[in-house]
Amino acid sequence: MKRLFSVALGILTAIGGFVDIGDLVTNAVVGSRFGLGLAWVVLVGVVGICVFAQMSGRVAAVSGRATFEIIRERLGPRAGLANLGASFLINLLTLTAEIGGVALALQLATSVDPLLWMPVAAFGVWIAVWRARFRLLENVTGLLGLTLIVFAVALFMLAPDWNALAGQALQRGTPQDEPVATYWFFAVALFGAAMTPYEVFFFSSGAIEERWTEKDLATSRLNVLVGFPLGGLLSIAIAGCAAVVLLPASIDVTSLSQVVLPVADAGGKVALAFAIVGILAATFGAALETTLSSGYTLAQYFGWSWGKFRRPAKAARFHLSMIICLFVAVAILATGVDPIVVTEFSVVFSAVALPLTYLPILIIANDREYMGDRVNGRGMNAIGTVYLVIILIAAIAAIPLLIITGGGA
Amino acid sequence: MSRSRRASARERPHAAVIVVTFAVAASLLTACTNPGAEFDRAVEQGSTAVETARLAVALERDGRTFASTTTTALEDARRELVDAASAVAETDAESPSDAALRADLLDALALGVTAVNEALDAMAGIGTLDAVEPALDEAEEALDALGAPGGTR
Repeated sequence: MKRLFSVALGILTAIGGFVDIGDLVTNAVVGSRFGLGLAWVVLVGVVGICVFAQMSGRVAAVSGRATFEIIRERLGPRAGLANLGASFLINLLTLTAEIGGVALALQLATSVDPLLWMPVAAFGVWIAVWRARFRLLENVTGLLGLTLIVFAVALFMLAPDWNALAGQALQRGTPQDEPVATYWFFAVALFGAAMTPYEVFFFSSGAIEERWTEKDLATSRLNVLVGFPLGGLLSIAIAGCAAVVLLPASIDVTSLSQVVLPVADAGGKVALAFAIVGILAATFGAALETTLSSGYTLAQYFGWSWGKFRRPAKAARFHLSMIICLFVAVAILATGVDPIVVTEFSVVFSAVALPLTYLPILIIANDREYMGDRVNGRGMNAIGTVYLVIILIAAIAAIPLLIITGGGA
Repeated sequence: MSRSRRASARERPHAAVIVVTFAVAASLLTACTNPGAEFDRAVEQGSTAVETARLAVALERDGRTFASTTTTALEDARRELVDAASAVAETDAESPSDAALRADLLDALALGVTAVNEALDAMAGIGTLDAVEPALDEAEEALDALGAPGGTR
């Protein structure tokens, strides 16, 4: 019974933890401009993150070490540094976006300027990382993030023309009023949002925090293979709500306040309250994950003592690096930069950094020295390789598309 | 092949890359500063903001949102309108028709800002939301006229 509860909890937190500010904003932007025309990208992204998160969790459970630690050892300090540089910078950008997201969610509830909420949000993240137990962090934010299901409920309450939505989802090519480059820019952004690098590093380091062994592999696989796809459905529901309410009104999403308007339209104040709580939990949870991932990547590369299972005094550099990252994030936001713009850049640059994150994982998952008999099978390698090709194409195309489309303007 | 010829053969692709890079950069810069493109973008940005304000006000009047959420949506809409107006105001005209369009567009965006400000005032207890709808309609009509084919071109 206890095991069943643990599995259910893992799945629920995976659903709630899948959506972050990048998913929220990008899906709403895409829904308001393309309807469900890019829903296929979410499906591709979800399968990709399932493949690599599962691989990364298996590496951690079998070897008893976090993926990043092994990458440095297996591929050497130079390749490890390239991996660290790309992952860390993207992670920092994502952390900045998430802190901004928490502030914007608090603004929706209070109408107080987000600039005032940003330091409060960062302090809240720091105190949670410093004091709270790992499992508590994961479960509370994941379960509260589940209130985002209100987007799926809202979609049904809006009583859309399902045939029209299905038509958008199955439509080939771009809508007539949108340039082809813009369509592909958002496809890459959506893919980057679904496959954000921090998710795998957090998943792998979390496995060490929770002391996974080979016995936990089935639970881990279930969490990933059920939780993430259901999280992907939430993403599609967010795009769907925007497609039903905002697209016909010619409203292109540029702020978080627009993302929640369809929910209020469908379910009034009660639904809106659920949406705000969900956004707050999702962004706060992702801020915790990105903060921890910053510490994990640095500590694992430089060989520092790390982990929430150690007291802060026993992992001082790990905790200090996270505090510095939070300061940097708040400093970036204090310049007055729009958190939504930071979010849009973070998902695009995530796409650029994807090969440096996922190629090493594929290599290590095939190394018998670390994995023994638990190396990838042929099927997994075939899927992994196909995904690496997709990831490479997305990475190469991201910056030119960003410039050509003026950031999807 | 002599050494100098080999060297120039190696340099030729570099020169081609530089020329192509300059051409792409120049075309991108031209696109960025093209008044027509800038005006089109501003019309779209303004229309989106006005429609957002309309939706937020409608939901508020129906009692379907929190005042804090409506206020935030309206403030965001106002920021978009001000950004659009600022971008238009800073665009250099290339012809007398560009200059006239810029003036019309600034007027239309100002109507949008006024309407959204009226809504924000109403949220703060100054005036009522009933008066906001006609003001938003007027701003939308003005922007639509400029957004129609040939409007900003």
